[in-house]
Amino acid sequence: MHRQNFRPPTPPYPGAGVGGWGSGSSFRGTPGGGGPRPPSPRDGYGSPHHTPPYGPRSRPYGSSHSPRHGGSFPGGRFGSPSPGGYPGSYSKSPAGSQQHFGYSPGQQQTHPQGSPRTSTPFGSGRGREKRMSNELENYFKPSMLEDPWAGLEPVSVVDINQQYSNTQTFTGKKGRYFC
Amino acid sequence: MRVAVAGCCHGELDKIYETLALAERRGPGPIDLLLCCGDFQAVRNEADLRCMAVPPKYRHMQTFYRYYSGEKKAPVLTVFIGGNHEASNHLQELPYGGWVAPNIYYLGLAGVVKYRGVRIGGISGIFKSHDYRKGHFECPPYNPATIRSIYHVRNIEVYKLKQLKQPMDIFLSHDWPRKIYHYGNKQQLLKTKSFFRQEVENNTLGSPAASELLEHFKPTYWFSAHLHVKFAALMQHQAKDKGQTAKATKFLALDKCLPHRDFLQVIEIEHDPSAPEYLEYDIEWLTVLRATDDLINVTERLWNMPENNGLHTRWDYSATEEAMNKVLEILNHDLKVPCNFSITAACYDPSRPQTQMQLVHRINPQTTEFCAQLGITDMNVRLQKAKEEHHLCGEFEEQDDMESNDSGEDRSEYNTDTSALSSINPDEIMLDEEEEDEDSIVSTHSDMNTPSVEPSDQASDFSASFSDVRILPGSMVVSSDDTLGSPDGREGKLGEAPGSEDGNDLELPLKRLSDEHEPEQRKKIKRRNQAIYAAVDDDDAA
Repeated sequence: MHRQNFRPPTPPYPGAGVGGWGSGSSFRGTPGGGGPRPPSPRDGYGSPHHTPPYGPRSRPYGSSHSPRHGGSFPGGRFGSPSPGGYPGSYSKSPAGSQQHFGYSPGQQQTHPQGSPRTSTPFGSGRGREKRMSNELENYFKPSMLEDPWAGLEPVSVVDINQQYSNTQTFTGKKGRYFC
Repeated sequence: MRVAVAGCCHGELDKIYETLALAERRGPGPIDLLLCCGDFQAVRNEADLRCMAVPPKYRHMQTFYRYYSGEKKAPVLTVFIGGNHEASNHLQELPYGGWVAPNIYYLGLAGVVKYRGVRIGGISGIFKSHDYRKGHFECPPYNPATIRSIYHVRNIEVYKLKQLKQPMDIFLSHDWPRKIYHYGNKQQLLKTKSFFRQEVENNTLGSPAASELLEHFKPTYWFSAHLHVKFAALMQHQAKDKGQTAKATKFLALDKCLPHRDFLQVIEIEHDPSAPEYLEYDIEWLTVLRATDDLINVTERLWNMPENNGLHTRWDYSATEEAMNKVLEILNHDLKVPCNFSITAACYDPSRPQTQMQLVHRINPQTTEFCAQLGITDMNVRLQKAKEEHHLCGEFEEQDDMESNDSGEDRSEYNTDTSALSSINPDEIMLDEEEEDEDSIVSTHSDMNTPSVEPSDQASDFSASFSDVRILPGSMVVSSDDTLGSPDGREGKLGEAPGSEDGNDLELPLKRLSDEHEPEQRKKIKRRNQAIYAAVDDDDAA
């Protein structure tokens, strides 16, 4: 089968320190989910600890960021920063930069709605970056980083079923699974 | 690990990844995984675009094709399910899942994978009762019915998923599990989307299939989209045994990708530090796929899944230890999802648009490899064989209708033209007034000038839907709204008459709600074989 030659991602990221993963985190794993997980003979794909086949920094499948350094993982608490102040160095250039998202400098940017821009009143480079940055700010909301379940109390299935059981229309025997 | 969840993508990959990058910079750190809850629109070219069930004015190439071609690369591992706005021909090539681009993985009609030890399942499409019990009979070129039915959830996917016994960490569905709205701030939801009120009160909004899966899995997280609103809920399940801690599910539905909308959320999820950082197959799921391979159905005939009722020799397809070990052996103990994406279709070239690109029913090499390795059937191969023999796919002269469709783009969408792309799509979520000005792909009633709606293309679904409704179980509660689908309920064949009459709904600001909406005018339906179904009901009631 032909395998696609992927264009490797180019964003730089800090030296891949082979730090240990969080030792204190508890994980409710899925026991016996697949039996034992022996090391993969193809560990090069997607692993930050090995040099993938496409180049020293590329990760064709997986997220291209450095591994976390030591310390315990937040343990599921939403919003707490990674210990060690892991710098968000995951590859992301500022929104204004076109490098990461595949734009070549000087290449005509094709807007999805079909209005190419080659120059702006602000100049071809900085103005475009500023406009993109402003536009991006319209998409991002701080609430995207906040706990969406904060302030919610769990509601019991039993209570809801009791409350709404008389509004259901049964078309078959109750409890009979009939796919 | 940090997981980002996106609602309806609508092909806005660039925007989603850019927003993700900004979220990383503003937040606690890098994001490991992006989950998209449907309407992904993996449109590679013009032919794919024609297979998307949207009105012509919303048919935009968007940005996926750049990722397909390799021009761009997804910066984070992306896993998605299908919704009701998809390049259905493309996704059809990958019924068991597969890569649609490097680093972008489609879960398939239903699928379960693992990433860093986190078990992620999902079901694609939306629920529609009258298609639920059909096989996967659709294939390109689609006709006005199959372009929509193809993304309707089928019983076999739910059945397979319900064979799974091991815990589920995250589950994805495009439409909401029915009744989930009772577990969050319902009042706030109804303030934002007031036209949901009737269906919420009637418990008809959302998917009963998804609801069954929610009850079965009780996953830690459930993410959805479809209704274009952010909604969080915390569902406390019933404990199985006394003394056992009851499980809880954190549900979150997200909006579509537009400025100032809640389309993205970053969540911290516990993972297994010793688990690999690549996508893995789930052994139990693969085992169930092998076990249920004989159940594959590529016909349009309604059918029921096996159950312990004396009619089936086997009804338990759950994964045994032995069967799972067999699968492990087959995979050489390597569960890594192979990075075997390859370009198999022409990619859109903006400098050379192809308006007459031919639509081809393809066999995808990823599916071929997967099926060969597991020893299971590629549905598309079966379909092609059936097509050659019996012309079962309802072939349709797509080309002619495309031309008439384009010329009719400015006409009211509410006409009797049965061409796939200009008719009403009852699966569309209708917008309220504040969204009507947005360039959304969701159809709106703003185009509707006349109450005399006769979308006759859907009429053929009706008799099937009624027979379907009569046989569905109590657990798969289907109200009259499922078949007729007006926002306020209506009289139904079941004799349940909430009171809405012909024309009333059309006087409203036309807030079409759930995916099961059918226009009011189709109330009078002649049922096929009515006497037979009456007899079946008598037996069921006994």
